[in-house]
Formats: sequence, C-alpha cells, structure tokens
Amino acid sequence: MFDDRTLWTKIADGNADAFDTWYRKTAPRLRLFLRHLLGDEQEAEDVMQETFTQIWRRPHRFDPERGSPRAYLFGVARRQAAEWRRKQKPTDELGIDPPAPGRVEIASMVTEALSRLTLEHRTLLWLREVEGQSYEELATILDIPLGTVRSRLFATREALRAIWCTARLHSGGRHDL
Amino acid sequence: MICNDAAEYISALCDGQTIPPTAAQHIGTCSDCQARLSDYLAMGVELRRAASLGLADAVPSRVWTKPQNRLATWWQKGWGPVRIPWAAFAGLIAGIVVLASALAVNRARAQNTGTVVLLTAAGPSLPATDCAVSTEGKDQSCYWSWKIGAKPVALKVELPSRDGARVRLAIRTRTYHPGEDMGALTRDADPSARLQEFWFEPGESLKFDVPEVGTLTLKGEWMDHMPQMGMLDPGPTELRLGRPLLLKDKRVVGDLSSVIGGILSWDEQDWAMIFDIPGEGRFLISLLPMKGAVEAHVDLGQISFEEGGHSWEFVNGVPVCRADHVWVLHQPKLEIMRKKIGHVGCGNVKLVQTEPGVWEPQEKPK
Repeated sequence: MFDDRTLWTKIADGNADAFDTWYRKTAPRLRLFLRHLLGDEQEAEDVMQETFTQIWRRPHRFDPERGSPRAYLFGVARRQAAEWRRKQKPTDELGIDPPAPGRVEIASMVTEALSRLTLEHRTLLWLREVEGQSYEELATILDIPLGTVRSRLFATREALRAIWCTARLHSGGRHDL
Repeated sequence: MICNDAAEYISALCDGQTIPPTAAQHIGTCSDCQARLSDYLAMGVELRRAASLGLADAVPSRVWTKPQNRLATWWQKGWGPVRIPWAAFAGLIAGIVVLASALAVNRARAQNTGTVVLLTAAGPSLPATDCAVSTEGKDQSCYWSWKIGAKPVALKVELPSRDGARVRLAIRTRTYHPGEDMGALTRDADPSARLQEFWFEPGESLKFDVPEVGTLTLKGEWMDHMPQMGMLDPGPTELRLGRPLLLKDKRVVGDLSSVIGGILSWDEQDWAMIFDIPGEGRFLISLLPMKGAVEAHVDLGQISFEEGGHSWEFVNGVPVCRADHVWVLHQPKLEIMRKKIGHVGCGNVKLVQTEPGVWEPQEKPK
C-alpha cells in the first residue's frame, strides 16, 4: 500500500492507476464531507466528481510544500462546493434531505445541529473532528491565517453546542449549559 | 482566570493543543468548564460516529483518461488538411506578422525600461509581503522581519548591480534571540548576518535557505516607477507603520525611517510593535489595551496621545489601522538600545491576556 505522497509522484506523472487508487481511497470521505456541506446527496456526488476531474487534469497545481495531497483535495472540494452554492442558492440556508429509510441513525441530533451552522463553520468543524486535519492544514484549506484557526474552531464549537443543547432540551435530554 | 477566558482553551484541548497553566488549573477545578469540555468531546465523538455510518457506500468506478491522449488526438487532427480561401490565408499570415511584432516590442519594453523591482518575500507559514527597490538610487534596499515558529528572523535585500534584465541580489539573513535588536541589519552590514549573492531575473522565483528557519522565497517583477505602496485600507486586524517620525511636544525626537524604510505591517491583533528611541525609552503600540497603556487617537497616518505631561505623535506615511484609536505603552526608563548601540530600533512582541480586557507583553522587555 502506497502512502499519499508516493501515490502523488505517480499521479503527477499522469499515472491513471495511481490516481484511481487515490480516488477509491479518498472519495468516500470526500463525498461524506460534501454531503454535510451541501445537504444534498446528488449535489455532493456531482461536486466530488468535478473535484477529482479537475485534479486529474491539472495535478501540477498541487504544491507539496503547502500541505498534504488530502488537504489539497479537501481544499479544492471546498472551493468547488462554495462555487456550486453560489450558483445554486443565494443564501447560506441549507435544505438537508430528509433521512432515507435506514439512514435515520446518520441524521443524529448532532449532525442536524451541524446543518444549522454556516457553510464555513460546517467545513471547519468537519475537517477538524472527522478528517483530523491539523491547524496548519486547516489554514491552507480555508485560506485563513494560522492564528485564526483556533479562535474559529472555538466559535464553531460554541455555536454547535448552543444548538445541540437546545435540541436536547426539547427532546427531553440533558441540558447542563 | 474566568470561564469565558478559559473557554477557547477548552476547545484547543480538544484539538490536542497544550494550554497555559492558569487555564489548565481553572478547567481542572471548574464544573462549568468541565461540562463544556464534556460537551465538546461528545460532539466530536458523535460527528465521527455519524461519519463512520456514512462511509459504507462504495463510490462509482471511473475511467481516468490520460490528458496526454486527448492532446495526442488534437495533435493528430492538427496535421490533417483544411480548406481555406487564398485571401483568408494571406490575411492570416499578415495578422501573425503584426501580432508577433507587437509581442516583441512589448517584451522589450517590459524588460528594458524598468528601473524598479517589486520584490515579494514569503516564508514557511508566512504571507507574501511586497517591497519595491530602485536599481538607480544608491543604498536602496528592502527589509523584512518575521517570527517564524519561535525564531525571530530578518531579511535584507540589496541590488548592487544590474545586467540587462538581470539584477544581482545581495541577500543578508540573520536569526535572533528574543530581545535582540532586529533593526541592526537595516543600518549596516551586520557581520553576524549570512550573505548570499544571486543573479536574479524578475519574473522568476528564487528560493534560499535560512539556517534554523527553513526556505524563504523571493519573487520579483519589473516596474517603470516606484509604486505607492500601502495606500489601501489596512486589514481589520492590521497595524501598519511607514517611515514614522516621533514628535514630542511638536519636536522630532525620533526618526524611525532608518529602520522602517518602507512599510512595517503586522496582521495579528494580539501583537504589539516595539520602538526604542534613544533618550525617550521604549514604546509599544497595539490594537489591544495593554496594562499601563494610554489610548491614542488615530487619524490616518497620525497617532497622537498625551503621556507624562507631554504631547506625543507618531507621524506615518501610510494609514495606521482601521480603528480610530490604538494603545501606546511608554516605558521611559527602558533604554537598552541607547546604551547598547545608540540607534533607534524596532521589533514586535506577542501579547497575552492577563485579566478580562487587559493584555501584557508575553516576553517582558529586559
């Protein structure tokens, strides 16, 4: 099994097999990230495919000095999603798909709360908590100063906590704010 | 330490960061903070659990067509015959000749008539910063200073000679210990500085290593005039000074243009700029209220305040900040620069919040 950096040297040389390996390895997580960003499965699929197509066509745009290939992938996807949202919806309101049968578990209280955050906050928290991106990678992906990452993460967690605690209160759960 | 101050550190703890001892102590004993920590952790766990459930679906297979193949197809098409009227063919050739001539003229203009090089320096985790330097004047140089990681570093670039479209760059770099005079490099050839020389053609990118810091990058661009830099609005958290003079009761007591020949900009709110003026002591300027500081009024490039029975003004060539006030901490008895080298000096220091609404320099001046 190759690591991302080794795969990337092959991808930069136009190796389709290497790119397909990388695609299969990273696409499920990227699609999930985009689902929570865009709130629509089909849109997430389209943006994901467009993201991979763009990277495959222009692999030399990735600068190894600015972070990992995975951070680059999520950065490109974030920009694609933002562009998609800009064209599709004028506001940041999110129309989350109703949970399909068998997906009730996924639409848990905290992910519902997440969907009420702004696009920027959703992106930041998901990349930190689920993808485990470092502060440096988050600064690169979101194009913000490194020193801002910590304070934005705090603001995002506070916003999510407020929504989450309110939801728990209404559902009869614990409320210890 | 109160809960509001500790809250951001709780978030940092969840990210695997270390936090100040006072915050750690407070969080360990405060039930509200522990409830917040517990909620943050639970939210993270819940998000990862939801993500794990959503990862089950396979992604659709795709065939990745090599871009080279597509180019090859176009290449093959390009060799195929095409029917075109004679008049159109003649017009096409004439058009190519005219366009080619214009391109040649433009290139010659861009390369040969410029007398100013706009240099852009960038380093690891640092934003790019511009500085313009003329090839015609004497003693023209650019100066940058940063803190990379925990290491203060200064960079000075001079253009000793020019050969057509190329310039000779003399690059001096030096790392410092906290508290050292970083302005020394701007005044003369500091013997401790590392000197590297390169032939450099503006338009290209030059990378060079600085021991203990990493690789810095310099880019350049020819210009036919000295640009008016820094006249745009400063950023929301930016503090900016350009060729400042210090006036005390309307008399000039400090000329900082020797250490800030261009523009000194800092875009982190929780930092203060430091200036040492022989005979007057040290001045710290910040957007945040520092302990013992006075509030100074800002009017574009002018910072004015009353302190110690005197009226003071910093007069700059650029707008200082977006706010209408900054905070100035004057330490008249701190004159290490005068005793050491007899010159003005500048630097910066990180601020830490010591109580609500009050900030203090992290590394107290010695």
